[in-house]
Amino acid sequence: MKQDDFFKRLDEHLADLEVSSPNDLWEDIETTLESQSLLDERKASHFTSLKRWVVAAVFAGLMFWGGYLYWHNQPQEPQQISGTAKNDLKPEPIQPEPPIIASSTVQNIQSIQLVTKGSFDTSKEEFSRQENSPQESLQQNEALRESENHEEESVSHEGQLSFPESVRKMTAQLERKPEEHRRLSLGLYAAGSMGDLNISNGVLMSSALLNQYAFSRTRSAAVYLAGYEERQHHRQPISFGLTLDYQLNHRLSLSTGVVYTKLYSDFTSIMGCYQIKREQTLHYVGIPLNVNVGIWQYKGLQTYLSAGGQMDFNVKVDMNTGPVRQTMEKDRMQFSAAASLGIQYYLLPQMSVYAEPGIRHYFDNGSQVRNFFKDKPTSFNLQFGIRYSFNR
Amino acid sequence: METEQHLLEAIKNGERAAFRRLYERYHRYAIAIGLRYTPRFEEAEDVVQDSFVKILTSIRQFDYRGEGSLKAWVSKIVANEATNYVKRHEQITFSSNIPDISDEEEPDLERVPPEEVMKMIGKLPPGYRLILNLFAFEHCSHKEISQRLGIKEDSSASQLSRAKQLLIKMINDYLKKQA
Repeated sequence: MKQDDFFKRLDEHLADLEVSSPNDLWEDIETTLESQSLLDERKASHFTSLKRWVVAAVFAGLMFWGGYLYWHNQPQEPQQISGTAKNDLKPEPIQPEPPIIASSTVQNIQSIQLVTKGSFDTSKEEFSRQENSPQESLQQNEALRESENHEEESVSHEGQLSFPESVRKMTAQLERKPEEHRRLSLGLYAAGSMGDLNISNGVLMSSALLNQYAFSRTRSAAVYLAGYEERQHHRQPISFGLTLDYQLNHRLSLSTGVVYTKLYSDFTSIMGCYQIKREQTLHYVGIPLNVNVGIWQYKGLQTYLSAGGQMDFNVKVDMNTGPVRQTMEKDRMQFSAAASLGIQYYLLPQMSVYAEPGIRHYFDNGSQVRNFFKDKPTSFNLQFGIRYSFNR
Repeated sequence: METEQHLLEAIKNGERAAFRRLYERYHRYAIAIGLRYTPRFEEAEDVVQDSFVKILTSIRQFDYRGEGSLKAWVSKIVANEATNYVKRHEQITFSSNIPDISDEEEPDLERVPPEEVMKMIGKLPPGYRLILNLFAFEHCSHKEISQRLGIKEDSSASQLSRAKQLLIKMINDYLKKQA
């Protein structure tokens, strides 16, 4: 083709063209490279310290969890019963305590065996094994002392020695530890703010252009260029997180975890009929710390208030102008505070789903990076997820 | 002359002087490319400076594919930087209503020194110049040009045709003067 031939010849004609520059650009290039390498080193050390924090947090979490599991897996009830008897064991011959026998309606030692057969599964063997031992009466009396009131009640109402309900209650009481309310939960959640953000700005005429067009008198006033505009569009932030909740008491719990947040923005510069669009994607990894206070509970439904802070670290940046990838400095650490109202419903004794509508404020971190956090520092958000409790 | 492969190995081994050798080897070629996009010398220098910073910071990711591939890569980066520079700094209008000018006979291009042809390209209106560069030197199709510049394919083709007519006229005028 004739047209293609012309362009092909043109390309070949200029293929090896070289033009000398009167200025040595190398010095400036070298200076820029050095400043960038310093910046990279700073970023690397910043990222290294972040990695250390994450590793430390994971390690602390594992230690915490390991300790919790260890503590919760220690056998409790049988040791308590037999241990009490052994501790009370005295060298001299043991006599049944008169007040117990007197107050109890139980006629002989056989009644205790009936009780233990009925409900103390774990202690039944203990009692049976020691039926003819010297400690027999001591153990029986110990058990009697603990179950005295229940037995009296049952015997007086029913007149026989079968106490499944009372003994079950007693067993539950024995099983209950002072720290029973301490529960650990793992959660997965997704969260998003409510709506995108669109901003449109005019473009000011530069002072040089103002002078050129003899508008120097209006230098103090803003002169906007007709047909020039910059539009910003921030998609709502989307977060996914893994949380660890630790119940301090019946009302209070602490939660922490790891959160990934993605921020997408595009910036369109409009110059007359010509447009340039830049797309920016920021990836953050955050560590939240929240306090939750239970406010109301009915059957499987719970409501609570949650408040706390979060540190987000910008771990990756993507900036593209059309197909061309551009370099961009990462954002600084972003701190935010949040408060929310949580509603939780237990689908199973261990598993619940929850939703937390709330408000979050992002504090200005002083960076030049433009994103949703900067342009809409306070926003409503909705978090929903699932929790698994380990010892409910 | 040091091969591109040896130069790359030296750079990847952290030899600081090799950076300078790469610059010395290709910076004049890079300036010629920059001047095709933006005729002002200081602007072309800015483009080249930014391009070499990008080249030297990302050279470890460069995939060597034989002698000449490094030069082609340098050319690609300079062209991309220059395109972005023109888009950012020059007011470009792409009109689909282009008046016809009389067709001139295709000149004997090789009789004109390359430096003069480069200057003629620099005299084209920014929009024509950008499309001519992308089509003739970067070998972009009209579809690719339309995507990169956000214009219609027809508009790209008509602007290129007009750029060619203007360039041919300038070449013919030059040859007439020389004769």
